[in-house]
Amino acid sequence: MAHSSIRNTIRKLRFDHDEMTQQQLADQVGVTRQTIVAIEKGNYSPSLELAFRIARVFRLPLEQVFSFEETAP
Amino acid sequence: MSFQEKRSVVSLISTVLISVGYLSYMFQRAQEGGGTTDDGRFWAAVILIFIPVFIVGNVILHIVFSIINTLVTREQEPTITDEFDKLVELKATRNFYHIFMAGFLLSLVTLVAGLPSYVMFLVVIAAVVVAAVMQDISQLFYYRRGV
Repeated sequence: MAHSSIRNTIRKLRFDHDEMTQQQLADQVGVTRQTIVAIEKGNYSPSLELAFRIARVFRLPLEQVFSFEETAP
Repeated sequence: MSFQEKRSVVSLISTVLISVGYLSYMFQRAQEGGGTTDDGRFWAAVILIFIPVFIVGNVILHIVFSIINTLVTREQEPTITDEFDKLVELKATRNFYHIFMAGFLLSLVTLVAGLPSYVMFLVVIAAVVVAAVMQDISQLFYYRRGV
């Protein structure tokens, strides 16, 4: 349904951070595992606040975790 | 399947079970003379009693589901409702209201068309049930496919 034009590298970043589980990331940013699953699959674009929280966990700037791909209107 | 998806499925099943159980009991009573087909008071009572029966039944079935799910899967029930959950719930509730409003308008059409008043109540009851079922299906759909 709602595949957004926002891409993310969370799956890879989790792997690079000692194979952090989705549940561990969810606990650190204060959401449910289901939400992390939806974000990783591109089924949900998180709020700006949540996006910053996720980036902070990986100690990276936001644009290295999330990117925007322009699509034709 | 995640806990939220399982909860949506349980909600769907409980909505169908409670609705079918309660309404078949009430229709049986109506046929046995509990209320004539044009008794507005009887059908209004059917709707009013349906609301608490529906809520209490749903709560009980959800508690039973939580206990069984925890015993079987050892999975912890999420204690928070995050932004994704709220968005899914909002969109599912929006769908509920759209369908219910369509049903309500249809019930008014039955009155304008000169059909007996009990038909109006039956359409309202059907609208509530269909809208509730669609709300649960919407929730499951949004959890699986995203919002």
